[in-house]
Amino acid sequence: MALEQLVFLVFALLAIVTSLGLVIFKDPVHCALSLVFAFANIAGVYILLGAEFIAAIQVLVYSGAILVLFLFVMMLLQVRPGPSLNRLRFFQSGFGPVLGVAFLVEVVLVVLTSGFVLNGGNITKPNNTQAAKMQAGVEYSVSVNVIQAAGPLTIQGKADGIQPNTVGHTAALGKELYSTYLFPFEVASIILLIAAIGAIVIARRSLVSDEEEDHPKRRGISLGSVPAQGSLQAFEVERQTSQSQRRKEAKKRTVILKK
Amino acid sequence: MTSITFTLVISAIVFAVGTVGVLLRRNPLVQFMSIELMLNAVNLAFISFSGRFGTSEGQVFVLLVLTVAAAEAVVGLAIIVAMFRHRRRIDVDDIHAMQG
Repeated sequence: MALEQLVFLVFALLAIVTSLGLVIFKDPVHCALSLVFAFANIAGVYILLGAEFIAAIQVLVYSGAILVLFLFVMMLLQVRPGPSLNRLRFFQSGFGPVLGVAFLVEVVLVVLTSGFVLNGGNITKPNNTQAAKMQAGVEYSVSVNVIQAAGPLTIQGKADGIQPNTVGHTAALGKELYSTYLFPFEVASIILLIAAIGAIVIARRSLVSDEEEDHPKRRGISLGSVPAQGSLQAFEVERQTSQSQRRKEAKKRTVILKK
Repeated sequence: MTSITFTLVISAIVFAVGTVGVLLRRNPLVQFMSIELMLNAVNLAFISFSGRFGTSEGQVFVLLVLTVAAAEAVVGLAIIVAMFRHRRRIDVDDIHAMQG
């Protein structure tokens, strides 16, 4: 129990600190990455509160889809020139295979460790199986109905603190969502449809060509003769010129040595 | 420690940080991210109440809030892209008139 509280505290503090980072960082990309971390920590808090399904949805939708959308828009609008990744190429080629092998070893160890062996589809802990969860969900929903019949405020007494194992089962949530809250669910799907159509209509390039259509800055990567200051192309050009200068100097040196 | 007071305090702090982000930053992208953070704080409050009362209505509403947040982010980003096409820079001070 103490360990759980400690983990809870760590998740909560990290969530607060990283959400402060969202406000403090100057660069919008750093803000977005800080926000990804904050969302992951809040998902951890959700798991500790017994809402595993919401935590999974949080990771998938928020940090997986919405934040990636934000980062795409940032790249599209070129909020800042991208970092020059040429310096990191050595680390890429060096550390990438090592990390891949480490990951493979990890996964194989997890599969082969006795605690995770699946014996006929049953995971070793009996109260962790799918059937037990379904059973708990059914009992849970039945008890919810009883409670609702008894009155809205007499809800499962004995609760100081949160019991993570009594609520939050995905089966119970699904039943609730598809029976009692079916109408809001359908309304939500219509909201998503309208949002998709509206986004396409708003962000669509207008068919009338305005006079700025061929502005060189309009493209994300400038293909003009002079690349933008600090961009990847500028770095590449600089590198090539410095290399050629170095080669010339080396030739001069060899000539001098020969003399 | 994992009582409802603690989670609600965390939720309030995260919500306040999101509010400060909306008010202080001038970049509309960061402002949108702050709004997402505020919605997340509300979700945290929903889930802690759901766990406290032993019902799953709170989690259902978290799903609905998440849907609305996704819709809002998509439309907002579309508006930002359209604005950037129009004016070549993004700053909230430019958006005093929303005509095309």
